[in-house]
Amino acid sequence: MRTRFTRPKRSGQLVSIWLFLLAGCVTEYQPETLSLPPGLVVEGQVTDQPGPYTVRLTRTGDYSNQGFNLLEQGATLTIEDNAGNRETLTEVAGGTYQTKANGLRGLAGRRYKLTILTKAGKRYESDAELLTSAPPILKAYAEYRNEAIAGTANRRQGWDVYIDTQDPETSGNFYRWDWVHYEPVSACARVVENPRTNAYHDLYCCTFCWDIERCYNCLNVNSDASINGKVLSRQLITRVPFTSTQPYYLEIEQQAISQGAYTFWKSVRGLVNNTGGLFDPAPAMVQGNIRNTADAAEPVFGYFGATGISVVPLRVNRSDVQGAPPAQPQLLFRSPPDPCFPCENSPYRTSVTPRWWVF
Amino acid sequence: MRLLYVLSVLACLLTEAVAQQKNAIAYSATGYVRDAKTGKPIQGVNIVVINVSKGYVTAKDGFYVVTMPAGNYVLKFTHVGYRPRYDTISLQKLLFREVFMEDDAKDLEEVVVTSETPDRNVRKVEIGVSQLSIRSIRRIPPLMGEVDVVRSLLLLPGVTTVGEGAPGFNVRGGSADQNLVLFDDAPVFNSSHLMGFFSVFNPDVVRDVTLNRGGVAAGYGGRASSVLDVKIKEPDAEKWSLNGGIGLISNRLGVEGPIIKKKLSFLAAARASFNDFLFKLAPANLRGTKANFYDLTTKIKFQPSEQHTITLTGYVSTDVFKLASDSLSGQEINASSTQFDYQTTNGVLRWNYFIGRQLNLATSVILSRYRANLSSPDSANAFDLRSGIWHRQIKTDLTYTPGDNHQWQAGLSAIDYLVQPNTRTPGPFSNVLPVDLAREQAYELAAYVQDEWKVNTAVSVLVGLRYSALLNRGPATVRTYLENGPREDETVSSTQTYEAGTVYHRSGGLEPRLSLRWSVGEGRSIKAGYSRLRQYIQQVTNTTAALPTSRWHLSDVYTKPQIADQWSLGYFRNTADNAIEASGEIYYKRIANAIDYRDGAELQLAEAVETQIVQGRGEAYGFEALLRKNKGRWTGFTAYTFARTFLTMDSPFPVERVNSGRAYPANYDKPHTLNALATYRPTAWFSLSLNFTYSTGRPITQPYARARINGVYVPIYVDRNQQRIPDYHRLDFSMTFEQNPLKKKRNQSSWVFSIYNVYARKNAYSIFYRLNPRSFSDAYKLSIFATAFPSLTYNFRF
Repeated sequence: MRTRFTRPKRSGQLVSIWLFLLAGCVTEYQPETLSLPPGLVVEGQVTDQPGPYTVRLTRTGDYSNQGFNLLEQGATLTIEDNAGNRETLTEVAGGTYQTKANGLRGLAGRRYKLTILTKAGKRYESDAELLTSAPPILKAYAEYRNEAIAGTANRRQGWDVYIDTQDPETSGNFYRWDWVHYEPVSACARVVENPRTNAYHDLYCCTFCWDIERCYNCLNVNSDASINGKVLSRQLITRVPFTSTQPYYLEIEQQAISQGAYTFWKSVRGLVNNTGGLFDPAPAMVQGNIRNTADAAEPVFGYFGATGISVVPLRVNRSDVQGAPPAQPQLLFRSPPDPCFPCENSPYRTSVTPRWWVF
Repeated sequence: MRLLYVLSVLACLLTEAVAQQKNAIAYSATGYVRDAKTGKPIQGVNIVVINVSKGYVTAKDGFYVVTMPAGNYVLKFTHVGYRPRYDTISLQKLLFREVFMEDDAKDLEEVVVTSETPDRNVRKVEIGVSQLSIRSIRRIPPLMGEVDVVRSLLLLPGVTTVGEGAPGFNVRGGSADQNLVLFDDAPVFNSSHLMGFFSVFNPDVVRDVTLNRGGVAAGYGGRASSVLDVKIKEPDAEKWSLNGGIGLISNRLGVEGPIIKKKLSFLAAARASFNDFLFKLAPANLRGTKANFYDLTTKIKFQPSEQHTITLTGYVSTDVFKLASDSLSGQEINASSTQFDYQTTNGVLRWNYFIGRQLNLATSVILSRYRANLSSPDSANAFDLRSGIWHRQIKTDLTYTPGDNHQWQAGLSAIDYLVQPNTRTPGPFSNVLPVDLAREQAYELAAYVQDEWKVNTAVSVLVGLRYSALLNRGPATVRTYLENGPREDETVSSTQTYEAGTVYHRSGGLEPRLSLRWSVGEGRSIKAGYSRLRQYIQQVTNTTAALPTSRWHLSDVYTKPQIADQWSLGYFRNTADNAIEASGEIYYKRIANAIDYRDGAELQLAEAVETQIVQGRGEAYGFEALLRKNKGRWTGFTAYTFARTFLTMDSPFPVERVNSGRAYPANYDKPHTLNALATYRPTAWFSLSLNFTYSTGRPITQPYARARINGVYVPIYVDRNQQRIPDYHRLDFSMTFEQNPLKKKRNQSSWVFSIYNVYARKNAYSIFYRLNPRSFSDAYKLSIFATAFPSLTYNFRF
């Protein structure tokens, strides 16, 4: 399951006021389809945490549900720093390139640059990005809030997670926040007995096992322009759902990013949340930090970043609320138990105990 | 008053004496034209001597002089809102005649929209000028029962808006800040209540509204597109009355009457909205919303003698708009709610000195202040972002009418501007840093002279010349940028600081104005006009419509004044005793130094605006046609406008270009607009109006491609304003029930029932692009007022 989280829509509130007050409505609309020659899209970063680091290459597609984004395969990618270290990445899956687990390691104070040579022979380079270490998170906390579900009389219980952080004296600090949630699972596989009746049973995990849930579309960035040198407070990170009365385990990442990366993510956020209203800034092309070395005018999208990260855990106590959590999918174990199923490590599941896990 | 009679009689005798030397048989008929009910003098009454087709106009105090050779004549008196009156005179000696004109409320025939003298559109010299009396504005079906001055303007040819509920209006390809909006001579910097839904003018105090979109007279200046002159009525000097109304959005209460009969009179009118209760019924996420406004208009008129009139106008308007999130704030600060409040405070002291029937001197002291405030209450992140404009002006206009063929006017004006761009103040326990952007200060000086010259019976010209200048003064810090780079914070090579009071930059120039009317036959005329307008103060914003908190900016070393040159040509035709009017106008306009913003501009807290905006060329052209029926039980009009507006922002540096330096349609470019209004008034106490409007959708920017970044589909935009939202059309309806005005009753009341958007069209307010695999389409259309909107308003007068 992927949780959607973005900041409140820029003018979403105004839109909902118009909707309510002025009997407005939102209907589907099919614009004419426009096309551009597919451009290269780059995403990836070097951090000061242990690798491997991943870079993904894709192509732009038509802006429609029918459009598709092709993977850019067979390219040669190199990351180098200003101390003369360089490493060529290996393509671990279509369009996904990785450094070795014991290879290049990001260090604060160094600059990192990505070079791409595509199969078609085009050469692209990123700017040399400076890696700065991230200031620690002062405090992470959760506040219970009972929110109305739009359009219904029902309410949803949950916890808003915030952090406070001390911004360094120097100005020009840029932040991005991300989080990872580890959900312990007892069943590692489901056996469907009969697809017609949906009869199934579950298999126990052989070891401790956690599902990993990340914020896949976090566009949560901020700068110290308004608070330089002071405490940046009440930065909303996510909302914890009331799915169980067990504590909710969360690792919150505070990332120190460059000014270019901040501008990039901020404009991406603006574009994704734009409602085209009269009070929305008109959208413009998002400029990344990657260029075709032979043709500076070729549009290349995405950003290659160098990021310092500091992490804090947060266990959100979910036992002190009224009522029971909404019904969750039932697990069915047969008796006597079936043989267990191994916990397979993947981007979405791990058998490695999370760093701050308390049994 | 007696003294003036004597003086004017003396003056008349003198002129007669002079006249008699030339022509021994010329005599004058003179006197005052007054309102039959209130006795108030009426200014600007047209007097036509029927037999000889000679025309006169009454002065500010209603005084007129008609000089003719001895004989029998029929004088026709006409004026907006009054029943025409015919007077047969036998001119054998100096005649005194006091003429009383009756209100035309009882008449079934009504001039809709432009209630000018019947043939004024053919006879007047100016081109592109429309006048609306408040009575005709009241006939237009209102939105939510609110009679609205600015909304009614949108029916006029050449006036458009970027969207329903958008603040401001666009005139002939100009942006909203290129309109000079005057409320009894004081400029109004934000003419909207509730973020743009209603205008700030209380309809109970408005006398008439004039929009100059073509031939702007030399007495006006300072904005590049148009002048909207909203006049407040004169307080009733005869008797006290109380009026008001109850509506869905706002409630009104007004009082007026004499403090000293015929000498000192007073008017006060308040309007307030109490809409919070509506949000109490709203979904929980909107319950924290507040949206309220009020405005108060006062006017005191003191007339110690017929020669001197002193008026003092005061106006306050306040809006509070609270949203339960940080949306729209534009500040990267975490907030649980955002409150906008904005306030206009105006004061005008005006002294009109009627020196003689040839000379009139009007002097005004004008103060206008606009303040906008954005605040967030959360203790650690509390802040208060303030911006404002102070406009202090003194101006004087002298009118000299030496004879029938010339009317000279000359004047001087000095404005002292103080613009506070944005000041952010943290709350007591807040971590937010204070920001205080430097104030901008300047003097805008202007002088003009103008003559309306009747060359012969067929040709009249209005020729004027205005000189205006802006003097920027310190304290200020002016940056110098590297010559071979764009203007950016990183390319500053040096800065220069100027002491308080030092004038560090001057800009200015001449603004010629010319209008010409050529009568080509009975009820037919051809008019041409040229005007140049200079604008020194602008609202810079990167949104389609400006927010109330959008920043104002004075022209300076880097922001050049906007200069608009407009040429227009029109043909005007009246037939069937002025019952049918037809006209067509074409125009071409060039704007030098038109303003737009750079891609990704951050304007709110930018220290130097020149790093965020670009200036380039604007070009607008169009055709406006109007067909109107003024008489009969059915009255109304149809107006069609074709208009295009393009901007070109080119620069040697890519970041200072928009759309790679190619011409692109402006945000308010709407090629086709058709408006029609029909009013049926079968009896004196009932009327019914229908209003239809159609326009091409405004330009928008559509994504050309998508990139998948971090799990999100990011739209890729290439060029600004290359697509459009769907076309807009709507029908409105209203019915007004009044008391029979023929039954004289002291208390009058009326009911207005209206339906906005009768056939419930879901017009597009905006289009936004979201990909949702469960949906068949790639975008969504947001509509507001997407249903038929009924409303009921009760008005009373005691």
